[in-house]
Amino acid sequence: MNMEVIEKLNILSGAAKYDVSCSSSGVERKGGNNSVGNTSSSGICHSWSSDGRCISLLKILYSNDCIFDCAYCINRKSNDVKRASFTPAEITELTIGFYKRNYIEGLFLSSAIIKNPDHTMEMMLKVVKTLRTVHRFNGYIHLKAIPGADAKLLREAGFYADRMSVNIELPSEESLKKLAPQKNKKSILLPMKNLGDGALEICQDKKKFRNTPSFIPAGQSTQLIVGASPENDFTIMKLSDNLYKSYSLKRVYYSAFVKVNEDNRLPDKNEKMVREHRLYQADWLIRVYNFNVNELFENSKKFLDYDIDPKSFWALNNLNYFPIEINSADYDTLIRIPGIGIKSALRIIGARKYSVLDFENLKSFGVVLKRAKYFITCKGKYYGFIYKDAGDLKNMIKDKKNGLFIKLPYEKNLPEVYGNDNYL
Amino acid sequence: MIIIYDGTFSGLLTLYYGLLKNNINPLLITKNRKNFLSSEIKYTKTDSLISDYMFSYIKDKTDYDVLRNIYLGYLSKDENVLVNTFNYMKKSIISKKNLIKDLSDYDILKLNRSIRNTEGEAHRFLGLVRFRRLNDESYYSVINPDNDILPLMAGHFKNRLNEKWIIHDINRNYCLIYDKKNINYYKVDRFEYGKLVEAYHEEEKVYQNLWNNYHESIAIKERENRKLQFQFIPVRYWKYLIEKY
Ligand code: SF4
Repeated sequence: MNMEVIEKLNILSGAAKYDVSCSSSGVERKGGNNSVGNTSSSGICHSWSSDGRCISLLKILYSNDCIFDCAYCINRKSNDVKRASFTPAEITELTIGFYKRNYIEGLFLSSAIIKNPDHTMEMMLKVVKTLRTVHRFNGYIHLKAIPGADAKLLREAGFYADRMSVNIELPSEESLKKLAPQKNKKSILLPMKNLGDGALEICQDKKKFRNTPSFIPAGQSTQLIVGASPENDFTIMKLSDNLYKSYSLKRVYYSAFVKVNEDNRLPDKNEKMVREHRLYQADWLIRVYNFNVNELFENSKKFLDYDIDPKSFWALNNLNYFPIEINSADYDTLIRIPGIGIKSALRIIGARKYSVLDFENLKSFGVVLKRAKYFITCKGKYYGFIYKDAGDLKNMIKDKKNGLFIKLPYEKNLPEVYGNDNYL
Repeated sequence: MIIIYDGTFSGLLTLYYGLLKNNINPLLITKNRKNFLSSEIKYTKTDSLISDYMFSYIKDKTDYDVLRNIYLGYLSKDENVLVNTFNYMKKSIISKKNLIKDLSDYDILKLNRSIRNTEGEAHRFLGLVRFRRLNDESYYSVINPDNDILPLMAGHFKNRLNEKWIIHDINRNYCLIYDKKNINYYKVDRFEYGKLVEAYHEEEKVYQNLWNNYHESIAIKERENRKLQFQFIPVRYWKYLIEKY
């Protein structure tokens, strides 16, 4: 390792940091003899950066020397920034060195488009292939698929990576055309579909043959920028819902637009963090809590309510369902109560087998009752304050620190699986 | 009654046996001799025959998870929970099932909290261990956890790192050593953290440097949020990391 690598690391990690995903979980990989590492099924954070984000992966670009010119991107061709590219060997050495010292869980490798899409993908493939076959590396690997790269390269990479992602970038084709003219919907959705089909095929083979290799066992995810283009939240949530259902994506990541370039195609200001935050919450509700996208919006309004979390918003619109008696409600009903997440619901169900629960019991289990108390009864008794109507109640339960948002979306703080459910 | 035991798990099971048999409800179980009036104190002697018997007795009467929960109670930083653990065990044995989910019971609630704290800390330290490569080709790390979590971390690192490694709990002065085959526990008599650097492998500093650089360069400066950062890693945990906050 020479000094030059430090310089490259600074440039190419700095360029990758706005990327959203920090998840490294949902997949179990056992270390074998002579191999480096294992992947644990519940995510591990190794450090926290000074902006409060969890660090679990070495997140870098292979290169930032781009031939494309996307309006929103710091590395676009027309910008005058310092350029650098790693060699595959440098990345594998860094990854192994960091992994053995327990700095990281694995590698998240992305890249600008250097020379052409195929060349870029070939280099990235070389990195993951060397890690897996030469170094017998068993840590987690998330690889970005380069739009427009040969389907064969992507498929091969899929056998080495735990997760792959193709960035949707923007919520509509129209915006894509305007802001990222060298990309198009097809060059993004096609690889996504191919990877999905590949995973499905392997999954079926696995039923027949025992030794079928894994193909992106942690699935596919994607990412899009919110606020660089005019699409509303309803459109975005519908899009995500469709990606989960039709492309069996594991996760969609949202990234509030940060203005890094002067360009008249772009809005003047950064997107508010609160919007990103609410989108993550809404996403969580449709993905894990079985909410329907339409339930999260009022008929005419196409944006989420930023004053209040989407679950509370739904509850306020459906006050006739409440209050719910916690000693009798089933699991699906319990998790619809604002403030009660999966963990709390399971605790309640576990404990009420032994005795009828009262309000004090709930408090002592660590169920957060700040909002929940307005929506429940315990042994028939209501513990919230009296309110006139939904608007009145909303004022009581909304986040007091209006606008001044100190918490980042939990999706950015914790790898998935690990302890993030009490939030909603 | 205040009871003093030798601090081993075997000692605790021996003690629990005696308490069950003689139907005693202790006030406090501890391994430290503090300033108690001698008339209130009772000492137990560890007997591995008895503790082995208790081990299978608990397993037969209830299930393996009850044993695991007792063990987790034993690893907790909070000695008061040893009495709660005893009551949980007794109640579970009487009702012939694992009562760990009965959170409306005070003892069980307390034990649950301790378990969550211990397991949570162990999980957190899976990420916070920092190995230093030493010139004898071993990987050394020092941690300072509140609970006794080394036993909970051993399996993870055995799977993860196929090198000779050492994880040293500096608060309890003992360590785990993996020799690429087995994991063993050793007591540490003398250790100076400041001197560890003298044993570094020649490439160690380079990697520490790279890591510090990386750690700094990925932070988004405009969104600095120290409060959040410390919420996740309390200041005392940073002491043996490589990176600075
Ligand atoms: S292709 Fe990627 S790196 Fe290149 S300009 Fe577009 S967004 Fe930036």
